[in-house]
Amino acid sequence: MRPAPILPELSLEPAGEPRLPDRAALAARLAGIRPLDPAAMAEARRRLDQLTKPLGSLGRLEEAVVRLAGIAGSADPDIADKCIVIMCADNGVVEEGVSSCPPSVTAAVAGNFTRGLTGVNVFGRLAGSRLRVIDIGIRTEPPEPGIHRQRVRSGTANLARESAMTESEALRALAIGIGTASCLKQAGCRMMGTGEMGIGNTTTSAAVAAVLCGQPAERMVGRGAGLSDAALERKTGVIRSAIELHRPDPADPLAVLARLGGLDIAGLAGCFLGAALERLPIVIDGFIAAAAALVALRLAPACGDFMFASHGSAEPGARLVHDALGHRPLLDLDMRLGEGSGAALAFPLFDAALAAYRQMGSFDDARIEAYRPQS
Amino acid sequence: MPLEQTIASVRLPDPGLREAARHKMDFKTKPLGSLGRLEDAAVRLCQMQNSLEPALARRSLVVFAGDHGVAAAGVSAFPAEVTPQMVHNFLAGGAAINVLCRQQGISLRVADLGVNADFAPHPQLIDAKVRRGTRNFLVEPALTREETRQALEMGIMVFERHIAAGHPDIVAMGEMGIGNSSSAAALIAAVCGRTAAEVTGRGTGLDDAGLARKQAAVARALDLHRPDPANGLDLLSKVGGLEIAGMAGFALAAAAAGVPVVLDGLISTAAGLVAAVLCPAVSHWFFSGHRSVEIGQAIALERLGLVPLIDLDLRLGEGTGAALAINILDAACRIMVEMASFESAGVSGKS
Repeated sequence: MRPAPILPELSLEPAGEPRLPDRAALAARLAGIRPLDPAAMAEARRRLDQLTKPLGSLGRLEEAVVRLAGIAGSADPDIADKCIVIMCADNGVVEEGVSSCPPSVTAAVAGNFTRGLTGVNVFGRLAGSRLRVIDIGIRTEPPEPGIHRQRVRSGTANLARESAMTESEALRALAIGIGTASCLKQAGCRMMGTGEMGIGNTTTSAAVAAVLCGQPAERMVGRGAGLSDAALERKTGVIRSAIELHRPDPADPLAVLARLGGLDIAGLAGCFLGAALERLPIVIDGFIAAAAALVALRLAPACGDFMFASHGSAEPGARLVHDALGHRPLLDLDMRLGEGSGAALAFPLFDAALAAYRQMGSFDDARIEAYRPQS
Repeated sequence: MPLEQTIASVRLPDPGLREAARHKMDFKTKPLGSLGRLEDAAVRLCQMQNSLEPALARRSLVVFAGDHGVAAAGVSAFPAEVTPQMVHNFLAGGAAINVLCRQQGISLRVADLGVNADFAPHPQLIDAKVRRGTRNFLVEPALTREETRQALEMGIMVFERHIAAGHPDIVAMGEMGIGNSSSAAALIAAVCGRTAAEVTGRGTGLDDAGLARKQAAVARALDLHRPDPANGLDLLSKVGGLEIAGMAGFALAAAAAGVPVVLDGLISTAAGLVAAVLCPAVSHWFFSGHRSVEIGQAIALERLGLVPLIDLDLRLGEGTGAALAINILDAACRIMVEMASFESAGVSGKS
């Protein structure tokens, strides 16, 4: 078979990852996350209030501008160069019949990302975003070039019977995410998006989110890519008994991740941590990415300020996870595709917000003396 | 075209294409229905454009401006002088809608339906003035029947003479008019059978006392005029506005020409609602751009059967929400055109 051409939107900077041999190394690394810059935020707020519009009338776009300034440490944040990281991995739990798709779909769709044919390719092109597709744990061999092979293991173990991965594997996956953020920053990327592909990953993310949110499995479980009632029941039962089996301490996010998570979730959690370390804004895609964001937030609470929620997924647990994250999604279109499609769709809103911020006239320029509330 | 002829020309989007478009969407490499409301939008755009490869290459947005006699009653957080000042700001390119239109490749025009000021000619300005502001509907009807008809037909003219020549794939409507959220609230209350309190919000930023004053004004206008909820001309003449009537006419003309229309916030949704009173089929050509923080909009949207595409707590007006939503609709079109099907990608479907 002729190799597919590498698409211009595919990001092919070399991969690198920090060494994180143990929990202490991770904690030391995460201590480097600094808070948002209050001076830059105050300056952005001041400039927004001078624009020819009623105060605050650009709503949540204004909040986004202020936070982007705080992240960049500058009242002139630059987000022109964007990249969506798509972590791809298989999940051993599919043995339990929790998905409507065969596991071979993971590798096939990962390949399609590199051929430009998927939803995230379409929305990514529209947003002018690059993609970085990472095989962090696919079970079979995706032959396509353009996929970064950073495989921790070929699919996780079945969490219904044993721990999905070891703690050191979870640390390695986090390190891959952290390394991805720094390599993208060096390559000029100024805003990250998150996406994933992994058959079975609505099960793993629901399990992780249920424990971290302290919610019963049934409140977190949805139909994923399209389950019947009976299959939904089975999926809920699998998660419930897995939580029962592993009894992870909700206050120990690394243990929750290793026992109930997936390599895609772990890699994305690393991306959220890495984005905060590199001071890059990072856009959460749907439910699975939000579960990964929650793992990151629990590992390092300061990283939450660097996140933006793109869309309210149709998965029922999404709202609970967004509440736990403290982020309200920008879009609410009942999407549940994953892949990073929601993050890509939200990217232009940030560009629009910054364009308004930079290019609108001020009251002085427009000689509008009266556009102030009447007393 | 005269109003009646325009209304008679509005057809439903091609129902025959619905099944083919749905089928095409269902065979894209994604779980069934997983793009949520984007899928419905894409299917509707296929029907409207009579094509399985819909495109939104040519986009046009018109800001309709007009003044309101009721502004004298203290129903707005801003004085009426802001309307002409903001028109100048649009023409100078410094307003939010200028920036968003530039950024999204949307051509922007401003139509003066009734601003209480004169403007020098400007390439982006369309002179469609019917009169300098409406009368204060707390005292008398806002417009005569004849003025109302003129404003509707000016809106039709704006589309036919100034927009249609660019063969737009989609159009959007925004507005500027101090006091117009009171007029919109009164129209929505009258059409949907709601009380003033149920539809009246804080506009661009009223405090509690201002809100109470505005609710009382809307209630008084409804009580004084008792507009006929089934008669678009009666509604607009009694409690409407010139820019609202212009938008209603514009929407009818776009629909008659087979062009989808994106509504913005409260005011343009009220205009869309009145257009649907005049011609029920017109709402099939509408998309709701964004969820306004104004409570009356949700009531009007429910009647129109529309759900907003975005919800960003915008309360700026000008068409900003509609402009942002066009990008979302563009994404929906591109899914239809660019995304692989199961056959072409060699991915197994649902097992």
